[in-house]
Amino acid sequence: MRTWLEEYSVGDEMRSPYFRLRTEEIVNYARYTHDLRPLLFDTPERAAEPMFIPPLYLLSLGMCLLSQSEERSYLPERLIAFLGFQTVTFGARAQVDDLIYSWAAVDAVDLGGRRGRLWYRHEVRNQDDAVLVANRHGMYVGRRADEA
Amino acid sequence: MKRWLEDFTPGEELTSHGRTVGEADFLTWAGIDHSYASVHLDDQLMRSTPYGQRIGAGFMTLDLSVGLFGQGDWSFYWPSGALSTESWEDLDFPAAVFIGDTLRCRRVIAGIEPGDDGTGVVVHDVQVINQRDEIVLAGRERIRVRKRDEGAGSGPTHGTAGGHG
Repeated sequence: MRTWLEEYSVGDEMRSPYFRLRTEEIVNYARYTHDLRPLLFDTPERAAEPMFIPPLYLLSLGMCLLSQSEERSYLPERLIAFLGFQTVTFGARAQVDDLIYSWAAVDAVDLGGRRGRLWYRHEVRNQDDAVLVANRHGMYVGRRADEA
Repeated sequence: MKRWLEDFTPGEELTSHGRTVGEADFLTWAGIDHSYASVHLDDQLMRSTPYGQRIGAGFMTLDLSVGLFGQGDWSFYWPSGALSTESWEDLDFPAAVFIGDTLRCRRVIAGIEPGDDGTGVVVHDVQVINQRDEIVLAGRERIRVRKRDEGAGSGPTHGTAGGHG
């Protein structure tokens, strides 16, 4: 695990373990969030189509998978606050039983200004490396220089 | 009520019903999203921080914001002709969510972008607000929606499986 913003460099990469998208996970998500798109069908014919997987579920899960990366360095010890997302785009359609994983790379390390900022490019991909979700997000991180 | 691209008007807005988030929501979300960060789960630790208590996961708020329309005018968010969410932009979490907060979601139609392929994009400005009208989430969602002529010919659909979201 890393502590300070200075320990990150542009191009640092991290990758999560694989995660299988199971039907029961999607059903539990729908029950909890009340996003019922995986469960409700307007015609019987549509019930035969592949289960709808809410895109925000993929985004949320993908972000949390990053914390499981082998390097354990996605979130620094001196994380101050999450900045948010500049963009989130949705690509290939996910399917039940897909194996998904997260990949991220440090996109910018901003040591100037009142607070240091760390920016990531992040993708959620399936077992064929097709990109399901792509985004750029940032966070405020403490600087060693400020602590001294 | 079935809606297609032509049924949206810039400036149109809708605020959802509310949902009070309890401790059970924090714990359940951790299990669903596999997000086990201490800031959401460790009450003792969080008492010693400026927050003084656990704070909700930003993604819990984001994902609940969709379901808040499930009990009301669902077609405002996900109309008959909805095909997919194309993107979110400038998604931010300006304030923390605490146990006991009541969340509502406000969506304003910021723009309509007709395409030449029988579809177009409906742009939503999205805010989630708490019981003190503080904004706890803000962003812009772009949803691709069929035009009426195209959609009417393909039979009834509420977009349940019509795209990846």
